[in-house]
Amino acid sequence: MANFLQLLVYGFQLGSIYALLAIGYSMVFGIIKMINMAHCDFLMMGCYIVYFLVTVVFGGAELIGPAVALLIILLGSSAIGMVGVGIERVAYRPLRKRPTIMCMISAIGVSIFTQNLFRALPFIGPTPRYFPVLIEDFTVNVGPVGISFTRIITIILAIIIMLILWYVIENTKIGMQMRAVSNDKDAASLMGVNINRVISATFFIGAFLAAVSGTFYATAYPVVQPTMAVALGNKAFIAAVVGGIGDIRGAVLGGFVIGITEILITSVWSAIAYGFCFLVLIIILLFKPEGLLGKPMTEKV
Amino acid sequence: MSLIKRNIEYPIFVLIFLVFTLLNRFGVLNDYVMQVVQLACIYIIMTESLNILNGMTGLSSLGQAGFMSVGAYVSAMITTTFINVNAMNPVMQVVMFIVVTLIGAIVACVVGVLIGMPAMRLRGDYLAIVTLGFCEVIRTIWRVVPARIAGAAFGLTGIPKLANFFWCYLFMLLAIYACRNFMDSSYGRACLAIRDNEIAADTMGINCFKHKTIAFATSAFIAGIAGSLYAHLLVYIHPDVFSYAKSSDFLVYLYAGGVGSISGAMLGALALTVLPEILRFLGNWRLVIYGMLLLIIILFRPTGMFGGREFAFLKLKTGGIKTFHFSTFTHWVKGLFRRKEKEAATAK
Amino acid sequence: MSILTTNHLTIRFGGLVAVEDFNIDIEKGELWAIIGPNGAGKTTVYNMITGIYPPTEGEIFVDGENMAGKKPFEFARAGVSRTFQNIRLFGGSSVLDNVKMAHTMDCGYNYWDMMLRTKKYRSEEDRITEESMALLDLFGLADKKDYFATQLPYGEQRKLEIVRALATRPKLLLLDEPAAGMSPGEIDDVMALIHRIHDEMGQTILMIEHHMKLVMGIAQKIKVLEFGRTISEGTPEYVQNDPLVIAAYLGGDPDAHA
Repeated sequence: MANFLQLLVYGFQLGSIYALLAIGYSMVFGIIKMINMAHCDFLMMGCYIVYFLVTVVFGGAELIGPAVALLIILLGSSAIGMVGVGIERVAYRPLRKRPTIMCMISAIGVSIFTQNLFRALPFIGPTPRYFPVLIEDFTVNVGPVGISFTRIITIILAIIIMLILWYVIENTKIGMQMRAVSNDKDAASLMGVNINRVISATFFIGAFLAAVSGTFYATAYPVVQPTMAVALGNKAFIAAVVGGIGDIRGAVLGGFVIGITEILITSVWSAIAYGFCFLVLIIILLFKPEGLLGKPMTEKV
Repeated sequence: MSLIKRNIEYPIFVLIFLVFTLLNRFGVLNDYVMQVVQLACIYIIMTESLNILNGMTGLSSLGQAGFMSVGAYVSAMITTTFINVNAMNPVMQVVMFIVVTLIGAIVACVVGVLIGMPAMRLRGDYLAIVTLGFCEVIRTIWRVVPARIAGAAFGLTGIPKLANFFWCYLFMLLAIYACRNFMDSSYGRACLAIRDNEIAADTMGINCFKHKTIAFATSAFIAGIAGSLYAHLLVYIHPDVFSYAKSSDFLVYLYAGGVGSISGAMLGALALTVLPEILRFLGNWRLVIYGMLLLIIILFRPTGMFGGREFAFLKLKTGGIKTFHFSTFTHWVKGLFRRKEKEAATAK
Repeated sequence: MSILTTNHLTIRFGGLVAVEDFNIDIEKGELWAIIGPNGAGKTTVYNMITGIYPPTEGEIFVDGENMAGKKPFEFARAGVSRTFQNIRLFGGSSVLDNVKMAHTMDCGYNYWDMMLRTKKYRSEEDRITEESMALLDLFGLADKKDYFATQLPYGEQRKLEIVRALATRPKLLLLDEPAAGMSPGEIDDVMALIHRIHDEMGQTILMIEHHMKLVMGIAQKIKVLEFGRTISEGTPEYVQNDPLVIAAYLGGDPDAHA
């Protein structure tokens, strides 16, 4: 039983990472109806930038406290957010009028470019790096279960970020504009919404969240290399679709569902964990294609 | 004489084959280059199979690598695990190769139909996601099949090298002509109709379910053949080779060449298979430049390198509205020279 | 001989009754029109008699055959062909290919004939090309056969859609607002076209249309719908003077206009 609870906590943590990543996939799909295949690379870039800021610029995590570390995470992720805006501007905006599968191909090109760029740059290189320990870890005993403090912190921080995002989307002007654009782009632009700015903001948020989730991931699995995010991206993508792509609550729900499922299946038969998640995806898509929380799409004859 | 002139492409195919073989025999093209050429032929076959589903019928499928893996594993399992083909005489080996390739393709075809039937009910993006899912599920299956049979996580080694340039080239030509025959018929036209406007196709008497199933079956069959070639060329296959990343490779080849056109698929696959090899001198930066070139192609020429045109030698009556004759090429070259002469004349 | 008969055709979407108790009996060679304000359910009736929506109640008989539960392509094979309100051409294909696609259902060769390019394949393909070209020629589109369908001007696109529907040699041709978005001169062309199809080719036609000049000019019998119900039926003269119809189109009390 204790083992099961332990696994559940791992699942929650992995789930919170998938949730943050899945929100990015969901928001981008909701707004420009495109599956951004390069989204996972923001996670990888987030890891690297925090790694460099902490070890190279500040000389190591021991010299800075956890508060400064958090600040670095936020700053670094914002920088990656800007990278996301830049990528959208260069690689996706020119293809907006074309069928969305072309944007997907462009995203594949971006992904190949960034992953290999990080591999080729001499100071980053293909050799894996070890992510610094940003905060001293100790075990918290909750009943029969011993949980790592870092894991609890990452789960709590992730949830706080998701709540802030939810507030922004529901209660601010930019959030309303985002919802309008994802509903009907042309009508929104006729109402005076600056489409380009809204889409840029969406990409910023998506990339920011991905970078943050990267840091959280690296605290639990501290090996950092350019191809680390591909499998994560696929599973987060499954999470977004299972929950209902285009809907942020769906992404969060899907993230936790997939995270917990993966951890539980891995403990039983690790070889099929990856395939099992895809099986879940297929079953959901065949019976409820709009996802658990999504709305069905109709076509007028 | 005019019969030969109208069908001049057939002797030219033979000529190209002989040229490559002789250049290899006399050491001008080393074995590594021939390997790349053969791999290019296999990827052309795969891209053509994707074109049937995506370019002609409008079904965005990310599962081609899955069909390829079925063809590869089934045929390799027979020649490696179940029957010791290496011990047979050369004639029997050739016969076995053809037989296992066909078996692999048929199994891939069945898998294609099984996957296609539920998947085709879904809309564009969701279809891509489901086929991606199936591709990864198939990969996981190959990972858990016991290692004695199919190698599991270690990969399947010791596959007899039964595929050579002749087979790769021959199957490539057969695949291209099969696609051409498919396109230039009522089946192909029905698929084009489904792509452009499914509801209108429905009301015109086209049985969309039947035609989509046929498209999946044909596409998976051709992909299965390519898979068998692949296994028997590289003599080693591993489940991770056939991941969704490989499927997306074929998607990229198709769109870079020009989706919907058979010639575009051919050119795209050829160019993007050869390109990373040409860029080898760049070392670690090779794939960075490759990614950048890919972006440039897609951003500046979204209709693909060949722009939806078809080669005239394919003699397509359907779809190939913009054809590219050899004379078009020579005309364009002459045009370049004429322009230079004109500029020289006016400069005087 | 009745080409289309519907009995008590009704469709409900949840609580909304889109079409209620629609009854029609079209004989061979007749030209009917359905008119009514927007939202009256006219296109919904079409969608039911082409199999796109299954009716909640009622029966449909095409040339005596009961069409309950059949899919759209089965309706097409039974002989019902239609055009669409927003033109649904096959944009990625040429004009000629658009017409050839209508021959998919009567194509005489199978998969292996196609792959191996047998004599049967060749002869069938020649026949399809010949018939398609003949039809295009008849309607003056033959010289544009290699254009992309969406490269044609609007009026010719509508004509192509009609030609494509005719290529299936339907027993009943359904036209959905054939004169939509056209200038008065173009409407005269459409009128002449429909006249030609009806008189020279003996085609049975059912038409949805808003332009009264076109409807009153060619229709033999008219049905008027409002809010899903049939409020009038008869010859053009009768319908024009029916106070219920006038009220539906012009608004106001039907009794006031009597």
